[in-house]
Amino acid sequence: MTELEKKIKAKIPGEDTGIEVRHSLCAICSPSHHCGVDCYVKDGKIIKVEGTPEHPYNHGHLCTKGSALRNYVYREDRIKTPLRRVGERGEGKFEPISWDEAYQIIAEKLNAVKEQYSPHAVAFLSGYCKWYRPIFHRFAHVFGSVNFGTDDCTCSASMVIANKVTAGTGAGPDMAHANTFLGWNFDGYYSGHLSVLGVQKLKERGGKVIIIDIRQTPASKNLADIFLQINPGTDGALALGMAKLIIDNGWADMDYVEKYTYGFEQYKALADQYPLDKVAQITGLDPEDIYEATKLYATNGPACTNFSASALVHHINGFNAHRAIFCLTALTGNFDRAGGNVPNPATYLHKPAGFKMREHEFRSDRYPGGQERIGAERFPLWNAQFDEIQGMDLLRQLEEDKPYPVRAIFALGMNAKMYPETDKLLRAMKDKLDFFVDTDVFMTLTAKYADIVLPACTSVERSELKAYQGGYLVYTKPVIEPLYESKSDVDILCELARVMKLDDEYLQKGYEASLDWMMEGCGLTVADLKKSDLPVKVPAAKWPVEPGKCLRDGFKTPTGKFEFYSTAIAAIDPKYGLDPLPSYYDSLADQNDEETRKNYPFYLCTGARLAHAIHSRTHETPWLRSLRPNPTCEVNPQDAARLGLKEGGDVELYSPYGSIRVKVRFTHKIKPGVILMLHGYTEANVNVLIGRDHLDPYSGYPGFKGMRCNIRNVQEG
Amino acid sequence: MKKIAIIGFGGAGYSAAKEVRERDPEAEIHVYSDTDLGPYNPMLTTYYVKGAIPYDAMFPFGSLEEAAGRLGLKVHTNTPVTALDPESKTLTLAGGTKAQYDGILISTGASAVMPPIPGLDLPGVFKMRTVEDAVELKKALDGGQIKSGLVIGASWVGIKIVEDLVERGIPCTLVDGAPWIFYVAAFEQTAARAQKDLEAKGVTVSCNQMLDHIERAEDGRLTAVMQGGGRFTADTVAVCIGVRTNTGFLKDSGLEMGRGVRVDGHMRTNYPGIYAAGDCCEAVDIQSGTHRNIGVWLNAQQQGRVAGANLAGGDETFEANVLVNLAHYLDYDFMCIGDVSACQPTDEVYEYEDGRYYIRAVRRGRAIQCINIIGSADSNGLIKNAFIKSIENPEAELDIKTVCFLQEKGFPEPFIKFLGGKTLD
Amino acid sequence: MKHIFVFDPDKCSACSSCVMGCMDQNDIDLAAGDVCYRKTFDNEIELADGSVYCAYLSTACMHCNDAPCIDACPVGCLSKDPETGFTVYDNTNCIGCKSCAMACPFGAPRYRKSDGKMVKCDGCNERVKNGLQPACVRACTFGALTCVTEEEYRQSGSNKACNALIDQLNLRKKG
Repeated sequence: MTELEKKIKAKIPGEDTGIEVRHSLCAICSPSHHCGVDCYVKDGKIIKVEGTPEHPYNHGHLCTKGSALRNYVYREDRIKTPLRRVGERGEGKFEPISWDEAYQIIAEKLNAVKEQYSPHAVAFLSGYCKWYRPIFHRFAHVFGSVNFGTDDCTCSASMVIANKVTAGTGAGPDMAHANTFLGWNFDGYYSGHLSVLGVQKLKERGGKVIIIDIRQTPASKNLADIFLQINPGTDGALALGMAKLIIDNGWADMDYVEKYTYGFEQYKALADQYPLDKVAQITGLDPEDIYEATKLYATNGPACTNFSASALVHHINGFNAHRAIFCLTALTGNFDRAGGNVPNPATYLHKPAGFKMREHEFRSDRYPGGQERIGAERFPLWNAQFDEIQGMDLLRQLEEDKPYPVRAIFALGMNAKMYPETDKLLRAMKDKLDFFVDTDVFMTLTAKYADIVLPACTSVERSELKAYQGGYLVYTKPVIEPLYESKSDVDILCELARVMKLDDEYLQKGYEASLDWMMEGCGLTVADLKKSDLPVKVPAAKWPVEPGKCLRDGFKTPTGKFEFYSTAIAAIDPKYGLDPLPSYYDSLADQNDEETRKNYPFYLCTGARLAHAIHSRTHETPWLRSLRPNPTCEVNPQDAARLGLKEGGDVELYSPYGSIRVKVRFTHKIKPGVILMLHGYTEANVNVLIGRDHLDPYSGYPGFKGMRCNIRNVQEG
Repeated sequence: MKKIAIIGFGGAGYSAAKEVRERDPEAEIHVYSDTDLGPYNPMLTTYYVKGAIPYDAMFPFGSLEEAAGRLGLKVHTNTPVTALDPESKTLTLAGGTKAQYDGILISTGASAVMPPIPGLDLPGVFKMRTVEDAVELKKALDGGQIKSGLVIGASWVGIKIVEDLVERGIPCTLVDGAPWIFYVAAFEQTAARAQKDLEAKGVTVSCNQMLDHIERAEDGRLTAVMQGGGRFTADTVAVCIGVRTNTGFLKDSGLEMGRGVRVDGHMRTNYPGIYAAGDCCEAVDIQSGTHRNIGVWLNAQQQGRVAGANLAGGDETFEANVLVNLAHYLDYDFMCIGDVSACQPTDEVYEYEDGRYYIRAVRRGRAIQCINIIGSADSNGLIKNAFIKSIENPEAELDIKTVCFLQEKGFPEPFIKFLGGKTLD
Repeated sequence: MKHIFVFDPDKCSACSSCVMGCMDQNDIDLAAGDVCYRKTFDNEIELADGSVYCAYLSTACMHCNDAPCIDACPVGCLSKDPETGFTVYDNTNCIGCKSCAMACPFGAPRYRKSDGKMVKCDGCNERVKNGLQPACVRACTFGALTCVTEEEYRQSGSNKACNALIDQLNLRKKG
């Protein structure tokens, strides 16, 4: 091999090797992240991916998933052309058609449903990734439908609403100034990888770390000074018990409470119902450990808390559990104070960047009204606080046509596996829809039910606007041409808007014009951003965000205070039984009858993160899949021994709603009685086990992480 | 300036020369070889026969000229050493010439055993040790005239010839004088499995067959006639019944000898300044504490290097002399570590079998005697290392990493415990 | 300048970014049955006292100073790169005999089914020579895996390094 051949084989960038490094971003996971990537490109192909060292967000770091980005982009199940269904819905039989033909069919069919029923009979649904959502959201409204929905109906928004009805805002941990970190469900090693560095730094300067989780994790091993391995679904009780300890021991910041909070007496009365021994019994924790953790958190301040977007709120008592934890930040005077939890509103697509953009206005200025959104009647708190459908009511509405029929779905990346009783939803879609369009990068289970399938490209094949912490914006450039005939989602939307002659200046003009409108006032335009391949500092950005704004100007709640007692919830019709206080109830409250307890004795927790997976997005990516080739549930060895399970053997997980067949792995990292199962597998979709009505009444969120189930050996043959 | 002689230029000789040169750029290094070939590895001969490597690849250090040039050696080709006076460190060469040195390494290797049995010199009867053997057999097989083969001796070489024949689609019979194949390394139970696998691949296997003589029919076909009367007929016969050390010229030298030249951990013989390394020597087997001739390439390399270092005034030792063998053929691999012959009926036996592995291992107290595993090629290094550690310190436990690796490779927990269990380091 | 891989088990989570980096760099063809050179372990080990140790590890070739695989290879595929100190190889003549695997106490050499040859981590030798980090190190987001020069290693006085293991196994040249 010549020296040059060696360099080419080693993928060394340079003029001699013809390998060029181009910048983009990884959009595999949630838009709260999206790290900058360096793509090594040779002859129009990406041959290697690394994190961008000079990127202000990730500084060269990538997680497991991002490190597999090349394998993700070049997956063999990429959709190559627009497709028209030729078989039954779900069969996956399609024929290629042209983009023009696809647009014509879509325009015709959507307009037909609009005419025959109403514009609201068309639901506009989005899955990952979320970058195009402002355009899509506006598209739905301009079309005339109120029904725009996303995975927010099962992810993160419950926490957002809980924060909103308590403090008018969320608040992130101010790691840089904290002395104690309360890592409630924190596992940055598996999700949000950049957060680990902050905890490591806190420890290096002598800070203390408390980790609360239902399983032992790398965080509990590598970071925790105190680790509380809690019974699943009992976090709310622990938080109330901690509140009682804090109040009783005089560790509460009563000045703060008096000055800035509302409803303390009712809150105290609630907490009084959770004495230490009772809490220890509910949570399965040692009372001393609870005491020590609470004392550390309350007395070694400032203390900041990690809130998980889904770990807690995926219990039917999760909304209140999160509120109960959130309330501790005010009780100890850590809310909106340096080293505590500091509000930092999002600038664009969940990312705070220290300046305001008109994203919300762009999305909702054309709200058509004229009908209630899907789920409005059933989940009034959700409906009052969040301007999207609560999709957990979609199945019912499809089946019952009440309060009105839904007859078409126009979707970008819809994931039916996200819905409890997935099989029933797909059945209803198959039977009830006049028309279904899905756009995706890959041929998914859901796309197979579509009448028209459109091929979208990945983040490295398009341009997109992204805001980053630190006051940055970037407008990425494609590092390779879109593969096959795929297109950028926003181009698909705007081209379709033109074909459909939708009455909107911005959709007609396209993505960049829309961005320029949203960005107006920040001091930069898309044209300015195009001059740089990397994020640039936005002139209007104020960073870091200074704490104290709520304390100074008042909270954005009806009382202007931090509300232990939520007046927004109190305003909801009492017939729904929603408690303005963060009260605790059992996470299996709807399935605790004797019969169900007996037949389904295990506590099923789905979707506890592992580093290589996020929802269903990476299961079919070969490199990542190789890390866990088979859908596998995890049980404690004690349970395994009792049931005669064989490590690596085949088992059936089942509930009253469905069953799946998976491999079993034994782990001491979870308590006996608990079963973990990663979600998102097409061949073993654990969400078929979750009952469609096993929902948190506050948010409508399913109890993905708390459901009764049972397990049994599968005999071969 | 030091004058050093290296007698025999195979793996050990080369490795020693290289080490001397690295440590002493001035030393005068004389190499005596009875051929004019570069150092080669006898193990590669069967790979050459099957076409896995070209001719030149049998010489991992290049031609003799290249090796000599690289290390600055004075090479005496086709110059056998006929005698050695260890007292005066003087060599006698063929023709009577004498040469005296400051230090001498004996690295003459070993040769295939060809006992005085009638018929072994017939055309079509091969042995397999040298480059010439390989060239000859390859030529015969490439000629396409050979329609059947007989391999006598289920040894590490014999099995590779079986592989050569099977891969060429030539029906093949393997016979051995011992009660079961791989007798020096395998338990009967392991051998039975290996034999069954061979038979499934179309090889006829027959044990307890001691060769009496070989006959040649008029049509050129060969028949091996056994002492028990059995007759095996084939177009070609490969005789692979063992090797002996090339140490005849040392018979009356005063050097302490067993099956080979006896050396200590420094590769020193019983005479100062005289070293031996590689297939011709008997180093101390750390398992039994006795001298043992263990002719494997890795030993030759490492012993040669230790001897070279000490010849150049260093103080190195070779401490990893254990019985270890890997047979890898026809998508099958079988590994033996330790001394199967040392096992006694009273020893503790561990046995395990699943779709992937067959394991049979024997332990006396905490001391592992012998391990046979079928199917463990990826993990053999770890297991060998665990075995060596268990000899050095029978109480030692495995490190976390080794345990993780073995778990991942699907070894059962009781076997991991058998190897020494685990500890936190 | 000799380079050394240093592994800190207290920072590892077996997230396998390193494995992805290795596969990306070396174009590991999983469909053909190839196996990545780097391997992570997320294992639980029951200790004698009944407790359980959760191990998170990342391993590949340790690039031992006195690498036994080099000696073991019958065709001389393996060697030390004098510049980086990595154990590198040219497997043109590899016969797939697995002698290197038999010699390696870490299970680093891998048999590649697709062509019947042995392969292993070469420390991203060419990258390091060109001033880049090994791909696995580059991909490790938690700082568990680093690659330092021998001098940096000595100065750091780290005892967590995999090289402690090498010392323990007597794989370092004496003297």
